[in-house]
Amino acid sequence: MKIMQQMAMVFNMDKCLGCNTCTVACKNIWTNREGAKYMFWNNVETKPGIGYPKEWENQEEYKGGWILTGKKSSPLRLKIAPKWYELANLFYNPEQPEMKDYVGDTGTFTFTYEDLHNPMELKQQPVARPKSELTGEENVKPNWGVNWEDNAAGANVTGQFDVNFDDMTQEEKDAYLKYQDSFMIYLPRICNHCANPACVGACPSGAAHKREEDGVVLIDQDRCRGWRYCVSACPYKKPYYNWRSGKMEKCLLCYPRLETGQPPACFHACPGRIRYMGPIMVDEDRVIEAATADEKDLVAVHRSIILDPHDPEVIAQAKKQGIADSWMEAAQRSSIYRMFVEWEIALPLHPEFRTVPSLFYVPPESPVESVLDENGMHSAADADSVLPSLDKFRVPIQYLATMLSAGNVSEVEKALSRQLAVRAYRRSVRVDGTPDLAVLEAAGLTEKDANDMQRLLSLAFLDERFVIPTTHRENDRDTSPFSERGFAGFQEMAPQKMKRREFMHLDVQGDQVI
Amino acid sequence: MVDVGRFEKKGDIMDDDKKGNGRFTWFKKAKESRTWEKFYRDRWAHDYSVRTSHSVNCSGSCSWEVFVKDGIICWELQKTDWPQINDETPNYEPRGCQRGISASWYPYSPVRPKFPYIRRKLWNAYNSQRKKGIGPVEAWASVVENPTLAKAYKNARGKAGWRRGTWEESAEIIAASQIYTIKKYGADHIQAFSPIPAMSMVSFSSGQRYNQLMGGSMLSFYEWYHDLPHIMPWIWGDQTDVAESADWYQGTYWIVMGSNLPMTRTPDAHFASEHKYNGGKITNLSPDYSDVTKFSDLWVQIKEGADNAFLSACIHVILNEYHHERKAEYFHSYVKRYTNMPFLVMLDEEDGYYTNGRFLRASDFAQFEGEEYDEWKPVQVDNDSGDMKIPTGTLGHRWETENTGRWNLTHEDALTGEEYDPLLSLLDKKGSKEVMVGFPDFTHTYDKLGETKNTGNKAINSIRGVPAREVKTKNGKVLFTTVFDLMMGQYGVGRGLSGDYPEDYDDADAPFTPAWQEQETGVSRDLAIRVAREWADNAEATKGKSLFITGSGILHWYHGGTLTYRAEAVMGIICGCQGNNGGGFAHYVGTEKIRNYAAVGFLAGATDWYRPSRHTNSTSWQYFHTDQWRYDGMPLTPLWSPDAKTLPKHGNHAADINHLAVRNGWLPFHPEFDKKNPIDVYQDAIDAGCKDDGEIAEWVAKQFKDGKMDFAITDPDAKANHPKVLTIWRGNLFGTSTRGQEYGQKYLLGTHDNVLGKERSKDMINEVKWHEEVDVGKLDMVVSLNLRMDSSANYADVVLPAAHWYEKHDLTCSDLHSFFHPFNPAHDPAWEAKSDWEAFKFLGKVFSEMAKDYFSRPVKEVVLTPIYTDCPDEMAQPLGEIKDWRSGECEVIPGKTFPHVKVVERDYTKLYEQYTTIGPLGCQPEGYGAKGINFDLTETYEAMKKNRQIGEKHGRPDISNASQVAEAILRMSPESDGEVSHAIFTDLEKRVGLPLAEMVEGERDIAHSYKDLSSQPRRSITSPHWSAIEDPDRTYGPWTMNVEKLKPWHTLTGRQAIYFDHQGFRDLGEALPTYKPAVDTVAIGDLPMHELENGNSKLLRFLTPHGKWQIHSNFRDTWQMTNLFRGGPLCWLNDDDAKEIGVVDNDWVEIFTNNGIQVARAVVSHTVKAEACIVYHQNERHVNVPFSPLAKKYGATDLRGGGNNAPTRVMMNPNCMIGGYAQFTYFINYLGPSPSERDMGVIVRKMPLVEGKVIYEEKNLHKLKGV
Repeated sequence: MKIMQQMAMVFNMDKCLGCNTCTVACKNIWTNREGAKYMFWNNVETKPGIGYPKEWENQEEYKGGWILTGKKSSPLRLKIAPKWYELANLFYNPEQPEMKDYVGDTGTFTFTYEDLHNPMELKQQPVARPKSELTGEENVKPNWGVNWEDNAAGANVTGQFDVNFDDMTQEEKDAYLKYQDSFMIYLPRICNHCANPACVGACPSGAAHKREEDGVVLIDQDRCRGWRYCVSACPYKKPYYNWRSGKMEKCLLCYPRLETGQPPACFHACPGRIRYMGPIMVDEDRVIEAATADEKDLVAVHRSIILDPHDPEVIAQAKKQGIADSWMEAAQRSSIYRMFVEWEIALPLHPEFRTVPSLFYVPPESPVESVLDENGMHSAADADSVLPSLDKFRVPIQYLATMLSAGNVSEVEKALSRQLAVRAYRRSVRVDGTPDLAVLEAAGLTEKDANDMQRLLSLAFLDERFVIPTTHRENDRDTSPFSERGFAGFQEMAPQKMKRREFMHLDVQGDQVI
Repeated sequence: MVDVGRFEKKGDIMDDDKKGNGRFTWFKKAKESRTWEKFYRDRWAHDYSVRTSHSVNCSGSCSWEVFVKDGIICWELQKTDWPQINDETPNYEPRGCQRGISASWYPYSPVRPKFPYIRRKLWNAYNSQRKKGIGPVEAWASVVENPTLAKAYKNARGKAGWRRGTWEESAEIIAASQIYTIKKYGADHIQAFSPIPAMSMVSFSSGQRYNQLMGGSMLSFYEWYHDLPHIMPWIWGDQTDVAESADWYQGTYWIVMGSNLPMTRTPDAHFASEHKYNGGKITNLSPDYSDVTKFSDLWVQIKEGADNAFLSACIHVILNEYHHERKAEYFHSYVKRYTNMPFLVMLDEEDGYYTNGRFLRASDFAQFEGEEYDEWKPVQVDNDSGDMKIPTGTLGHRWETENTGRWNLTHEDALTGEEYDPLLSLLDKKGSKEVMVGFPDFTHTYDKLGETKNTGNKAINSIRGVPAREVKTKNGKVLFTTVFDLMMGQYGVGRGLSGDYPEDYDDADAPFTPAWQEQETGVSRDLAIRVAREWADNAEATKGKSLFITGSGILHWYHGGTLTYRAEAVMGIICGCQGNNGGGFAHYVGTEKIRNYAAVGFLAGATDWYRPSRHTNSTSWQYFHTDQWRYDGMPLTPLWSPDAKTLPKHGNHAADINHLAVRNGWLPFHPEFDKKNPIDVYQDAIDAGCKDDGEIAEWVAKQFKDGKMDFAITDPDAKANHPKVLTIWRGNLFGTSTRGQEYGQKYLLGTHDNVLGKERSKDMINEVKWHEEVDVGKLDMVVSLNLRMDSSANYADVVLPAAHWYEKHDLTCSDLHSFFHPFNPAHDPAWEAKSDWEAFKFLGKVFSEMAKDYFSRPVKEVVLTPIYTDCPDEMAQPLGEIKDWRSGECEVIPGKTFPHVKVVERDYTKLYEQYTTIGPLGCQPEGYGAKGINFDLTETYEAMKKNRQIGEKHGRPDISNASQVAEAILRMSPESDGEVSHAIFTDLEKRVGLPLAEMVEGERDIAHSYKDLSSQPRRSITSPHWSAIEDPDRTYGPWTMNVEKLKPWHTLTGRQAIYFDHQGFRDLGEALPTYKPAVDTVAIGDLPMHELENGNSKLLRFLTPHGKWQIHSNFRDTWQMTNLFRGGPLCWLNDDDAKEIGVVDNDWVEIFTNNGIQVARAVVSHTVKAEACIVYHQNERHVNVPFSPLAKKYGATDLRGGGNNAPTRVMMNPNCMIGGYAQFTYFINYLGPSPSERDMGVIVRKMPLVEGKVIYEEKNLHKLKGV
């Protein structure tokens, strides 16, 4: 067992409002500048649809993520190609989206607002005309963007290309893309800060890396040479090429905030309160198992490599590795382990990409299906119970399974039925006055589980959603906070070779002075 | 081990496992120096942050932290430190949405006016006169009185041609226009428009105060925005009082309709999912798969505009199953105590049947002789003895001259103080008999859009048996029944009685069965029955925790705020849901709740200096002054009950009924007098020998009676009756709320328009004078204080640069949470911008100085005001009878049968001094307050002078600066000052006779100060002006004070009004809740139907709900909101409809009616219901609007597409004009007609392009083809 500290996340899709406040929070702070404007480290997509960039989920097209080789010695390789391919195509890599796949023919756009301040007297009213931010061309007509399919806009057509329908018949797909059987869910996306990140695996420059202390995946802006292999390799298309700096950029989980115990801006800003964050302890030795499991077992094996933070053995190992108690306590207190591993109500996005993501999604409930009665009137498919039943949800379980469990329907059913059980239990307490324990038992939950789930999913106070220990910067090997306090912000002035670590006492571990 | 394509670079990222036993060799972690991380760390580092908010009409009142870096506002994030209400309710953090978080785009954006602008053509004309050495007012006169010059600058409106001016120049020309207007026409020709006080109270108060001090009138916004839920004053006698969103969480069954929570209540929408996890259920009525549908368990795929039919069937089921077949004890006792259902209604004889009449009152009975205000004391029958009783708590008790303490909801006989059990139903009661009563059925008054024959059909009667009893009154024997029994008849619950009752739920012919609703809604009867039962079962089990969340998706229909809302309310009331946390009727529109209502009204109305203020209802003002009344082809025939006699006599067109409303004192209208300056009216009265104000009032009344004077509404197109000066700030009147926008451009502004149709009402109107030719360009001066070059700025004459929300001090609150929140500047106003308070202070100073030359002494003028609500005025017109003095049906008595006539003396040279200090008029008994609950402000007034944050100036509290105003508002408000609340409650106890002040005993020490709010938002205190008991750990639920403390509602009976007995409502067949179908605007001539013959076009219902990427027109132009969706005006179409007219996603379309044209791009989606299109308002005209081939084809002068209010127009409902009677009495933003734009049908066609493109620029206009 080797413990990897990983800052992990849960997004509750049931609560997502599709509002994109997260998107703007991130945009304003990090990518509101030339070269980066088309980057959406955080975006929210409406499903069905093909998203941003177009068809990012379609790995037949983009060849992102990992695939099994069938070889025992090296069971996994990047789907884009083996090493020889990358060498041969260093300056030409076709397996990646073009600019139009992100922002259509016009790029991001602005308007000629200056027309509104015109000192000239006109014959008609002036208007601010659309103008491309990519080419400067005026009077353009935007035709794609980060949220072009908002609320299923145009999805009657683009939905046909949504890979999550792949396990259904054409007739079923057609029906879901008509009014009566329509459904709509929101999928908020950031970098998954994977345990098996394809971008890191693909980076020719060694710029993409995973931080030891929190598992954040970053692209070193000094090292990046802009090869863009991370774009190809990442099946989620979350690294972006900055055309002004020539370097790759991606979500950094707001590390300056994270290190100080604050959630990333997109987490902070979410008015749906859908986002949860806290550390998990991953068994690093077994990441390979999670990445190479059979498709139907991907979720289960992934869960099995997350270590129980209450397990004395795990705690002992953490001490041995020098993991701070505050991190262990945070792992115990945070919700991620409970939601993903204990209650099994959260699932990774497209686990078949085999990157072992650190972000898990609670699948959404939905209104029940419609039927037309004998008079052609709209009615509902569930006639009997006040609360909906799982098999009557409008959102097809198969669709969610394709998205969240590599097609394993039972995983999605479990996640949804447990949410429904909590609702039924709470309703029995609040409306009927008699707690319905049978409904919990049937879903494999205890009353304590149900109450804890209600706390976390419903009350969800700030300090319960985000349990973020601060970074132990004092453990840096080269510097000491005692001297660094005065240099903070002046790093460029500090002589490189200057001795910056001052010992106030001996750092010892066991008998060894370190 | 693993075959990966990557290069190893020495010294790069090292693998820390040296054993090589099956680990990933690529699995790397950085150990080296982290100096590169500085790259992003430096971006996050900032210099300053401040707590502030946004002033937009969104209900947010959110808490934001704005970050300043290098002296620049760079980004914002929500503050998350809202106080926790209790441990079992989710917190309000983070409060703020995608739109709010894009606000930092504005301060330096290219859309912001950074300096004052003056229309060049106007300035040149004015300045050339000034250069000749004549004074500003004389120079102004020489421009506006010169037809050529005036026409030229008015016609230039909206067409750029700006000149950068200075504040001094701008203030001079504005003051000149105002002084000229006051002298020549009267101050009532000056209007001020700024909406939604709660979104920034100080800024709202600034311009209103400035305008009120000069005698101008405040234009309303609440009913004009179609935000006023008319049923709130009608049923509950209050403008609006609703639950904060945390209170929703206490509910266990929600019906959401017409309110798209995630889209429009974004920061509150988290309660939806959270309430479900806590055991709740959500049922959603919506024609499209809306955002909130995503959160619902049951989606009722209802036909747009037919919601009321579905609910009416639900009510039918509930009345039948819970009030008849089984008497649910909780419901039964609730309606007895808290509604007017046990009150007695006279039955009026018709030919062979009866109709429901007015309430029986104490005045009808000899035994109650001598009882004060006996006409205002409706009676009940004692269930045990059968005797008539006057219950406590009626309007007559509310306004009694000597307090007896009987204005309460104890079940007591008001005369003896003995408790009794009111009789609810006469069914099977001794002495009762069955009589036949006519119940109007409006089902077929309009058919489906475009399919109605003629201009609409008359209603028919269902004749049904009702139990009744005879009683001897002063005027002989009369038959009466109870409201409860009438409700059973109205909803077709037969109870074994005879007549046209439905057989059962499957009887599709009789309203309001589950089968009947199918034809209107397209929804199965089973679903209606199911929803009714789920709703009622839940309410019974939880004692009222069934909740309606609703909003403008319902309201904007012609019968939305009146009938559909009423069905929602009634469904809650009959299940005991009102006045319980987590239940009842919760309607949300913008930031409507001014928690500190009294203080803001006081300062904004300038009633500390002058009384009364001038108020105008905007809908009537717009309807007449934009001449939409001339294009309104709707006869009122389909609205009348078959037995209507009184109201139809006064007209069959909205304009005539509006005239009746003005002359009867029901509604205000400005200007006031036909071609007469109110200053001259005063002088004429003095010249005629009047000695005091009373004599002047009598003299004015006589002049009207003798036909020597008239109202301006009689001849709105006469030049002297035009409004002349309009000031707009904090709002976008032309770009957002002017329904019939093109009419506004044509008539009000005198510039281009694309009105396509012809005038349609000439032969329908009697009371309002018709001119064959109308002078256009009614307004002489339009001022816009603005932070964007939006449509209001574009069409103004002077644009003043306003401070951004992040650049000023102010206060905000909302109905969706129960806190007060500050604004604080992140930096001073950029460029030459000024905060609203400073801007009007500056104008006030210039005005006062200039006034010295033009008003050598104080000026007296006559002010007409309508009969007002929440004061003894409510007893002006007894028995709900409509009597028209002009037809000789009654005397002309100001304040009774005619508007109040008051004299006001103004000192124009003191305007600045008055603006910056609080005047003395609150310091007298009953001198200060709201909603008829007042006290003497003296103690607070004196304390304010000593308050360090306010201080003293000229012996008065000093409000020179915005932060002083904010503090003064908090000090005068019972909601933020416990001692003030306690004092007012103590006064109120005398009238109610029950303990009330104890509710705030523990909060007397609380005095939230402005500075406190900056450290953390502070929660409001239980207030005598609101209806909720706000225990510190209890969420805000309306009417809890009425239910628990037995304080009456402000209605005729003091109870929730199910039955409206006013003659007008009876004429409209709306005395009882009912259903009327959506208006067919094809039938009344709004659609150029011949255009459908050209193909590629289709008639669709036009839905204009609030959108996701804007708050009205705000934020719609930011980079973030445009790029997060598709940037510009958009129209959502169903995929089959789109296919039919050859439109594919992202194609350009034209959306039009005879009223105007909108141009937009199509958004095609299968989630939209067929036969309806959705244009999320508000599509502004200033961004991405090309020229319209259709406009060219029709030869329109305005060749661009308009906003989404171009195809719409004002459609006024007469029921909203009724006044002068109990809770049906006017106050600004309390009552009044709304514009009803949702009932419009539109034609949508694929727009013909030129070489595959649209044309934006004037230089290419020659290429535009009129096709």
